[in-house]
Amino acid sequence: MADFLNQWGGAIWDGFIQTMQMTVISLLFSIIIGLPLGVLLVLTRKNGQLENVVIYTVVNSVINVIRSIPFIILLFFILPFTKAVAGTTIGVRGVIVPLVVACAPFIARLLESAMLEVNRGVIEAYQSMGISTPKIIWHVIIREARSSIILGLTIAIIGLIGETAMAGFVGAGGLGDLAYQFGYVRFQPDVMYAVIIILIVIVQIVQTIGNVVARRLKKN
Amino acid sequence: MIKLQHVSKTFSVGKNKIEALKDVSVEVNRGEIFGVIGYSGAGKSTLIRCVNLLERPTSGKVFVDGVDIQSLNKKDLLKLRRKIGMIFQGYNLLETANVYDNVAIPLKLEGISGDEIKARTEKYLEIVGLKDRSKAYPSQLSGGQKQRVAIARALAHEPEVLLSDEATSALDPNTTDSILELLLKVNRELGITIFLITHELDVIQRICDRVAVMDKGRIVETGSVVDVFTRPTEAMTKQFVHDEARFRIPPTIFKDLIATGKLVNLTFIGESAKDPALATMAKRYDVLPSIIAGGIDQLKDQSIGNLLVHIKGDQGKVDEAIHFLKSRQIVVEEVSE
Repeated sequence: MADFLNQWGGAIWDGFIQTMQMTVISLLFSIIIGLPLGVLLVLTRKNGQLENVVIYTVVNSVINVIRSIPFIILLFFILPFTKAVAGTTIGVRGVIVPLVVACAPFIARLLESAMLEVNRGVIEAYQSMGISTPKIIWHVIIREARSSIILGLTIAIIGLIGETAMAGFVGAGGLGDLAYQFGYVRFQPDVMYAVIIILIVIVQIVQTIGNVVARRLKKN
Repeated sequence: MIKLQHVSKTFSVGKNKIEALKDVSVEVNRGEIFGVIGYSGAGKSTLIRCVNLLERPTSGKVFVDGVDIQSLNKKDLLKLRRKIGMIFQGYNLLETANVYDNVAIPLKLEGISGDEIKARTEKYLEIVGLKDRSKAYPSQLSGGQKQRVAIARALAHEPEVLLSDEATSALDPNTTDSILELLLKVNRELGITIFLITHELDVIQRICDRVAVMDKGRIVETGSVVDVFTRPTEAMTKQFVHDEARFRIPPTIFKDLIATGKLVNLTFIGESAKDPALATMAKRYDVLPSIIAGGIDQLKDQSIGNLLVHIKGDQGKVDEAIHFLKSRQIVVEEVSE
């Protein structure tokens, strides 16, 4: 055990930090992009507050197209775009762009379904009180959906952690890369086992926190 | 206060067009409680939602306080809606906010100052009798309590009109009574005009001054509650009144009664209840009345008594006796089927 830690502890710690960096940074960007997209979908859909068939169809289709492409392919498919946006296609910096491109539409979808669960009657009650649509979005729809939103984001985070494993292909490192490079390519299964255990623990912690926060926010 | 003129509303569902409102005109006076009654699907909900433009009429005009509200721009419409409170069958409270916040949050969103929000929230929670439940969440409240919160929320905007969309329809009879009491208090003590829709006759009888009866998107009868329910002229109104207010006699008993005399339904309004008309009739025309069933309904300002009376005697005498009753300000209706 001591030997294993001496030999691999540093590499695993670095991988852990890289995975966390990729996940947290991509998550933030994905929320910044995904939340407005989700709201846009809710508002512009049929019978929405700002019903608009054109906007809804375009956004809806683009999200479906991106979500159809497996991440490993998306990663290479959008290399030119990544280069243009991030200035590089390798390293943690280079992998954030594809992670966000993959995750933001997913978050938009998750938030859309969370927000659609909000009782239309409550929205109507606030309309009847002369409250403007932007305020209703924030103080009624997002507020009432916040528990489902947290559960949705939990799913997105766990998905992101999985996707970071493929980041190794563009030299971004991370736990997944470590498991692949050493555990598989160089056949050192104990490294792979260690990484798997760490990933399981991370996912358990994320899901548990998500569940607890969601329950606290639900208030009933 | 509220005036709807020739309002029609057509919904398109796929290729089908559904006419929810057909040339409806209604006027609600300041300070009164006006009720619209009708079965579900009659268009009541659409009608009440036209008053604050949650639903826009396909044609026709809506005036609130003399203002043609369809001509208002977005900002003015929002302002106008604050003068019109609304409560719903489903309460429509924020599940994630406690009682206090459910009342306070809309005020905050309206841009009212902090001190004022606190004062109003406390005042109106006191009025609806829920001040001690400020910290409770809607999921911890009964249906009646939730509706009280919704009423406090509507009142906190200090509106001139309160719209009630089937506010008591999901409540049990006792709770319905207490909510109706509260609405009466709101009307009398705060001077708020109430426009309500319901499918319950009881609601109309208990608190309304005037009523409109709706059927298939049209208003078929309008008038004071006493008039409409003691002298219904339209089939739909009669159906409502008979559904709820009249007596059900088992068919076999009914047959016997009809064979031996005449059956009349007498409606006494207010003062006429004190007139010993039946006794006088029996004496003067030498007929034998017997009371089969009876009941009394409390309307907002007066009571209505109903008697189902069987009159036995000489054919000519019975007819004269019935004519006599009609002359005594009693609504007489012969029951023959």
